[in-house]
Amino acid sequence: MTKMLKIDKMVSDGTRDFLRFLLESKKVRSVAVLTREGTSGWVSYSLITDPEKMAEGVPFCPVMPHNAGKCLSRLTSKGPFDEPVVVVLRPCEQRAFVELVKRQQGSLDNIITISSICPGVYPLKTFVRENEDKLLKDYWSAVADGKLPEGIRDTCSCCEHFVPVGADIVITIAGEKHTGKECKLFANTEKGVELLKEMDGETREFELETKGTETIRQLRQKNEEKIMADLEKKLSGLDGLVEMFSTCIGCHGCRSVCPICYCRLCEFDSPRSEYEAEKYETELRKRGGVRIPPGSIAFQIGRMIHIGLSCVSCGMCSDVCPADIPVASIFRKTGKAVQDVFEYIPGKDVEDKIPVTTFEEEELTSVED
Amino acid sequence: MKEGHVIKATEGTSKAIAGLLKSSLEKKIFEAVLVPIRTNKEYNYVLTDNIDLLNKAEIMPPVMSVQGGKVLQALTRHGKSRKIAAVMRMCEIRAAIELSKLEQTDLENVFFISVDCNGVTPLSDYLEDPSCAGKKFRPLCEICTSFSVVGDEQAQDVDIHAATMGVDKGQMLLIPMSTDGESVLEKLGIDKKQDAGNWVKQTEKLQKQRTAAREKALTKTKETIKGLNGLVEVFSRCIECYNCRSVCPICYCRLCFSDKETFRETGGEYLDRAQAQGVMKCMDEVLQFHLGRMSHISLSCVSCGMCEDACPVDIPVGQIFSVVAERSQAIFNYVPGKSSDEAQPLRTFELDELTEVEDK
Repeated sequence: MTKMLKIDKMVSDGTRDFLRFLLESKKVRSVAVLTREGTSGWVSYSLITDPEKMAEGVPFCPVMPHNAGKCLSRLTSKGPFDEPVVVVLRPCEQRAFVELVKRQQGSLDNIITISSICPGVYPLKTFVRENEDKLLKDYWSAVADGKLPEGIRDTCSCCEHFVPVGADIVITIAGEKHTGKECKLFANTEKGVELLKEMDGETREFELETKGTETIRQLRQKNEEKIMADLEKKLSGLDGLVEMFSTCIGCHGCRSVCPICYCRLCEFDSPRSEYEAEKYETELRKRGGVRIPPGSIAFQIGRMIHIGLSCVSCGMCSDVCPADIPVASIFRKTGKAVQDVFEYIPGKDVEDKIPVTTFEEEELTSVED
Repeated sequence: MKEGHVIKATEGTSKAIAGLLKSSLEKKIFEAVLVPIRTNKEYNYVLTDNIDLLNKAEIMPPVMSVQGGKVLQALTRHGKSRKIAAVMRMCEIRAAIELSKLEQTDLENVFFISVDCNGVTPLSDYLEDPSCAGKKFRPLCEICTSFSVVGDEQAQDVDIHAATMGVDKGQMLLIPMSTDGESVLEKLGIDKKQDAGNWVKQTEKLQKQRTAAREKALTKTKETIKGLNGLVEVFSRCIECYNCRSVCPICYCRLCFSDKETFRETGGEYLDRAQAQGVMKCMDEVLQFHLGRMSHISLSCVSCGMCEDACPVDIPVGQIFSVVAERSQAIFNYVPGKSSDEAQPLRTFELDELTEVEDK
């Protein structure tokens, strides 16, 4: 049982009221949350300090323009927040931020997290190209039916970590049928309990996860089996890999938006990935033809090795791929495989060391001679 | 009177040029050729000397997945290649020439064959429905005035131009554009000359139409980016994926200015910044990035449209850059990629220029 505060309002409105209360009561200096800009109507992750501006907040708008973990890294990598800031994050964004903090790319100091049992987000292209009012309507009516919205990111539709771990406050959405009239805030930590104090609403002890949560979990498991089985067929062997990435145009957008890829200068932009004309000619003599620029698969595999352990399967990479390659599903599949080897869940706990940065005398004996 | 050498193209442009390349390889005129080849679903530039592989060549593929200028950069950035022929669209050749001025390509041994270009299909449209190839075009292709070697924008580094517009069906005119081009045609034994008047007429007509369409379209774009508010609004969707920069043939810096942390601040300082207006976008460097990139590349922008193709949030970034490029290039009377002998305006000093911005 967890301490829960119920506000009798739509989940987004209730959350907005709560965030506004936090600013007004000066419990926090600022709130980091998705906002909708006045003129363009576009959604972006923002820092709000003025309670009046909370009207622009759209905490659960089903789109992820950036992985918010990456945003928080930008804001805190040079130095932490010096006063309390409450950040509203989806579970995968929170996990990404924790992974970045482990890599010294940000700081959790003074950060209080609010996360949600997440129904997922639409792909960026869907959100940009289709009628937004209809998308929002469909989304929230699916949520109210205890279902998963149709057309969300592939990685969202088979997400297994949609219940946040380690957040100070959790708001229940996916599997919660009354989001149209109730906003339930669960205090997961002492900090969370402190925040909820003095906020209007009904407080009681309640279970965070319900039957509805379990239904969503099962739906997602089913989707995962299907999506991953399809992918496995397409990806088998080197030929499958070559075919899959044959449309890659080398824009490396997947890398730019990946919350885990933080290197200022990537290995694949370094002189080591450039060749003399002679090298191409040697290859030409060997093979009769050489694709230029080369290395699109080396890039993907290299990136996979670099970030696989920390991949939180947020799906940003697929969203920005101009060639519609299901990058996120591929990375999810390989990421999960290596994570399982080390029994590591990226972003679960900031104290969990990244496996390749630790040494265990007894491990991976299965691969020894 | 312009003349061309007529060859058969009964199986289409692509096969005709591939045939030409095959015999030039057999006659050892070139050591290899650089052409788009169909691999699986996609078209990629391949350097090859394999006659069989040339059967899969798609000389004018329906999409531009990688800009040819960038391909030549990958090949020759650390020194010249052996003697090769490259078949490319005009905007790709022009980009390659701009890159040579930036010391990113070495074109000494590159023999350029250009082809009349109808434009390419946006990548996302093509991937969604390949049958829209040749029907739907990049907005910048629809208003492109340098689709051929006509008018003021002709690229002087082209060696042979393959003319198809206004040319009888089943034929193609090869127009030598350089002495090298002439000698290659001679070596290939292509000597049947024909008047190119129809092609000139056709391309000039199309250019006139395009010029008018371009003015109209760019005026419209100009309206959308009017003033700071217009700019802010049009770029507000930008998620800073930098795809536009990565695929731009002119953006060649290994480490971009906008990847610097010069303007990054501490968490505390960001809070103060947010406080000033009550709300602050976390990714707040969007406009600075685009304006910065614009000032860096606009003199060399060839309006190829790669940036727009790669934008995941459908910002008409190519059209916006084209508006600005046209104006900045006009100031210096500079046509990017027109000639490798012409220095880039910012690298030259003229005692008498831009007097209108001087103090009176």
